[in-house]
Amino acid sequence: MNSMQKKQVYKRIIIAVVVIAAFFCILAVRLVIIQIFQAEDLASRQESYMTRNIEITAKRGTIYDSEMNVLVQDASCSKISVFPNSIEDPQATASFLAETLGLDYDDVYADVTNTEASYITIKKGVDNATALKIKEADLAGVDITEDTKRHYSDSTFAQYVLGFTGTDHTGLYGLEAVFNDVLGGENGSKTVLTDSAGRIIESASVVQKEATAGSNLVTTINSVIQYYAESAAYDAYLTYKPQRVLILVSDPNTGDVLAMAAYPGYSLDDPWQIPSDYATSFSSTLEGMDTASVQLEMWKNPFTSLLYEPGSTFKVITASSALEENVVSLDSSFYCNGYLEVGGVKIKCHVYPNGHGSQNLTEAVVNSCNPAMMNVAMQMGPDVFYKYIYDYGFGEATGINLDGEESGILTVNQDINVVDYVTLGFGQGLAVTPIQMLQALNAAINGGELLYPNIVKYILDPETNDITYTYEKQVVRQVISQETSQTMQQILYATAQNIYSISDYKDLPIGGKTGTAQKFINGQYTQSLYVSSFYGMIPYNDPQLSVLVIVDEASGWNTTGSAVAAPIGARVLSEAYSYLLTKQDVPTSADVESGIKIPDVRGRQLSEAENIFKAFGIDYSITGDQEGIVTAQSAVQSEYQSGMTVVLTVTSQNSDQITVPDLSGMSVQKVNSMLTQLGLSLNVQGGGIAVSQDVKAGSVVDKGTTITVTFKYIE
Amino acid sequence: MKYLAALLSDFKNQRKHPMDWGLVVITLLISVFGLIMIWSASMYNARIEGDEYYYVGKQLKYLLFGGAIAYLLSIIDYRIIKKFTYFFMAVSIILLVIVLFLPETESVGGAVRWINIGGIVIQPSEIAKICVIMLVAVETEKRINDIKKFKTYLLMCIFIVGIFMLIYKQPALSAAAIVSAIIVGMYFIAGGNFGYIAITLIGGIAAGCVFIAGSEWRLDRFKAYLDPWSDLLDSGWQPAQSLMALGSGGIFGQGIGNSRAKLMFLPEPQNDYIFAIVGEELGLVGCLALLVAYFILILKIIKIALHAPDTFSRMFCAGMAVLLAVQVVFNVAVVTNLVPSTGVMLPFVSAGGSSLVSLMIGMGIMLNISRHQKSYSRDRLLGGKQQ
Repeated sequence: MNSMQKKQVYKRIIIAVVVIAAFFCILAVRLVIIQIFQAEDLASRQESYMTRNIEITAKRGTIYDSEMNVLVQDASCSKISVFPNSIEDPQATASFLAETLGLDYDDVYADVTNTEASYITIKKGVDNATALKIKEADLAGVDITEDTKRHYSDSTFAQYVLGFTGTDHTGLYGLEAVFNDVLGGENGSKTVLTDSAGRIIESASVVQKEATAGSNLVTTINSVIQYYAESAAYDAYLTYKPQRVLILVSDPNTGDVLAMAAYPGYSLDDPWQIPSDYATSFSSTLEGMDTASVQLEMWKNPFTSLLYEPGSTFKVITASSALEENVVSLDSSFYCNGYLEVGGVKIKCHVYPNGHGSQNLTEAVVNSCNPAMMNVAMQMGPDVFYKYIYDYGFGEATGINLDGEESGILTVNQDINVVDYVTLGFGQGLAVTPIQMLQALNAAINGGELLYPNIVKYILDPETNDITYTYEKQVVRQVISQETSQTMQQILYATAQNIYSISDYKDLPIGGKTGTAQKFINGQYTQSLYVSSFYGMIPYNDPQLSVLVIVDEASGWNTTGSAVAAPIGARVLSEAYSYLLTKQDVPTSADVESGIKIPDVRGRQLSEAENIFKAFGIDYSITGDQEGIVTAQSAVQSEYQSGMTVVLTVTSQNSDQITVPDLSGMSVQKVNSMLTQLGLSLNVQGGGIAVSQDVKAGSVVDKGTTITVTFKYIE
Repeated sequence: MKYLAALLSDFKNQRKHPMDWGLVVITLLISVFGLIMIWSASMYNARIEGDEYYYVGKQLKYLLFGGAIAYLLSIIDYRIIKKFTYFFMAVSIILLVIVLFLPETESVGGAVRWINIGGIVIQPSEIAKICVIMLVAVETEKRINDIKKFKTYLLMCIFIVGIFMLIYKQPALSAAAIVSAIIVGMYFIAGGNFGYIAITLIGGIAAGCVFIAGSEWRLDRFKAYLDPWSDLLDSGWQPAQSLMALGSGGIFGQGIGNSRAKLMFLPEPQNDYIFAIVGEELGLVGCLALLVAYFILILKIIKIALHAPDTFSRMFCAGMAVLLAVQVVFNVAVVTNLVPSTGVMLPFVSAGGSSLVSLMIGMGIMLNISRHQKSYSRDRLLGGKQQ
């Protein structure tokens, strides 16, 4: 290469460098345009592709029973979704998911292979253990995210009170529906970053608005009484094989509903499932209906929507109205020859062709004599009787805070003929709901006040559990006087004393009235289907508890209210009443000042127990776990002397191995609450105070073990 | 024996002329920056595929391997390597031919561009680039006196058409175009006839139009280039995502690791579109800094070329400079949607073993050339200081 050539090459190299530099400058200018002048527009375009606003589901409020036991609460669970485009083996993935989640293979396969969609949710509300199994299988394209679901203390416990929520966490039935706005809180929102497949990048999410948790509800339901009522309903179902058993328990002085037990009923854990007992019982009614209609029928709250003829329990209404109006007195005499002819129609007594003969008012109620009650109704006259019927709340919904309430069927005064009028006297020709009947009968014996039936006691602040709203006792109206009501108490006591089927409970101060009504189906009275019912209260002279038992279509040779419903009612009253008597009160400040007794804090959270002890100024030490439930204490109810240290044994709820606590001396409710909190199950034997337990205190058992505890009433 | 003696003399020479450390430093800087950017860009999709460090790990291995080769080549006299030029070119052509006959199972989007030998994936078109530079340098040295003659030009055209068709058949139009551009660029630097070059450029542009119009998906890409937002979910996806990434980076960027486009919006963000991730995370400042680094690297190479002892070495360095310049300009032009979307790697930064190792081979040879610098009292063309 000569120097000329070399020079030329050098020159060309310099030209090349200049050309390269020019290109680099063009790139630099282009970058400046994009990254400075178009930056804002491009960034906002990117923002719109990559971010998405999603709702933060508010924590739904907890529902407690009257003693603050949790009935329903939100529980963490998982949501299983798929990215159809990332699935490697659709068959294997679909079959694994279908099997693990209990879904139909074809449905899952359709979702898994739906490559049109970037993200499909397969199932919500999956419990975390199942989700963990899926996570461990490590399938490509399967996504597990956090979700919440409603967790029930028991799948059928008070289901018609609580109701359930839909997949979107919105209440559909029961308190969940009625108080949906209260429980639901307010959803928040957050902006999340997603990848191109729609996967959310959690770390890059920005909360726009925090969710406001829903308020908590304290119901009037008492879990122990509800438990008694449910056991009794189930036993009655087995014994009488009826279509359905309904038991309502209330406090007649406040109108609080303490228990609402129905059998058969749906399960809260899977409301869409039709239980076999329900299907069997209602087979004739539900024949030819599709599943969806059966479900709608099953979810209806029978306590507010079932329309039935009250029959003889209505005689309490008739008699009290006449007494109040002084149309009759206790000494009035009624004669029954087995029937009464009214308007040319011969209306029979239930003992026809026999008659009750001569009877006073009490005897007429005790005998449940139809002619006598027709006489009473006739003596009052429609204007007076109707006033009381309306005053007692018939023909009008009670307004209870539950769903689906009916107002009953009542022919108006102007339209009624004389035969239909007089039969009202013994509870025929009108239809009522169970809650309506309970409300009316409570008014007859509680001093004459028609009370609004409360099902909710308090609304609590979601954070602090402070009471934000109280459902006070609400008197709708004074229906009869105190005196008349007291007279009715005596009459019902006398009546209950004469019900043969509950003679076992003769020593208890129970008052009550039975009813047996032929069912009115398709425009006529059936010959073989009855609604057997019983209304009872205890103690009769100062009623603390009342019960209404309805056995719909009991089978057997004797389906009268006294044979079928009365024993159930008496059993519930006796159990619930003993429970009320033995129920231990929460320590009060009065106890603190007197400094007499060391409070029983067993079954309480340690933090709660510590607060109580601090309030009492009691020294204590802790053994066992550092947090959890107090399962034993070295001294209970004994006198506290200064310098003494009470040793609290604490068991964590989180471990799988549970140390069985010493349950002696505790009430059923307390035992139940403690065992439930520890993850153990309770088998109740007897009632009253715990005297023995089948697994010794201090032994270690697996979570979920059932402990049989024997209770005895203390004299 | 002859080679060994040459090798030993080279060691002696080494002491006299240390190699160009500036070139080493700037190359390493860009390569390490590339590693960091590959890690950041591939982090998300690699994690979903199971191994967050998959791409960066692979790149690191190739960088160490390439670095070792570069070191070896820097101590072997380039004239020994030069003797194997025809052998290397033959191997390279054989590999290109093999690729054409591979079954389409290895294909990505219908194109077969890789050979998989026991897990090591080789991209013959990348290897071809360095071999072509060597061959053209050797041929230029032979014909430096006839460089302006039509015969020389004709030979070059035949070579271009041959190698172009071989690569284009894969099909890899952009790689074929880059190889052609390098040859033309080197012809220009060697002192080629301006008229011939002009004709070649016009012919090239015409051919480009024919190729684009002749294929439906290339036509779609061309339309997407004109307006990426009109066909966003299909052909416009990559240019639009790339522009949005650059735009959201702004002046100072979202910060290293904070790219959103890498969340599977830009497919394989560690490859051809890595510059968009650089722009998103480090902003205009980062982009310009990288471009400046490339320009310094090119100037360094040019400096070696100017001081090179012979025509081969000068032309080899010039070819490497053209290769780097063409790849950088082409890649950034694609990312900024100045030209239609096509697969060009960003040298030393995009993840890719064949490309990195080929570049390192070139660097190694140039380092050795830098040790054979003459004293060049007359060579003041760059106005730089003399060493």
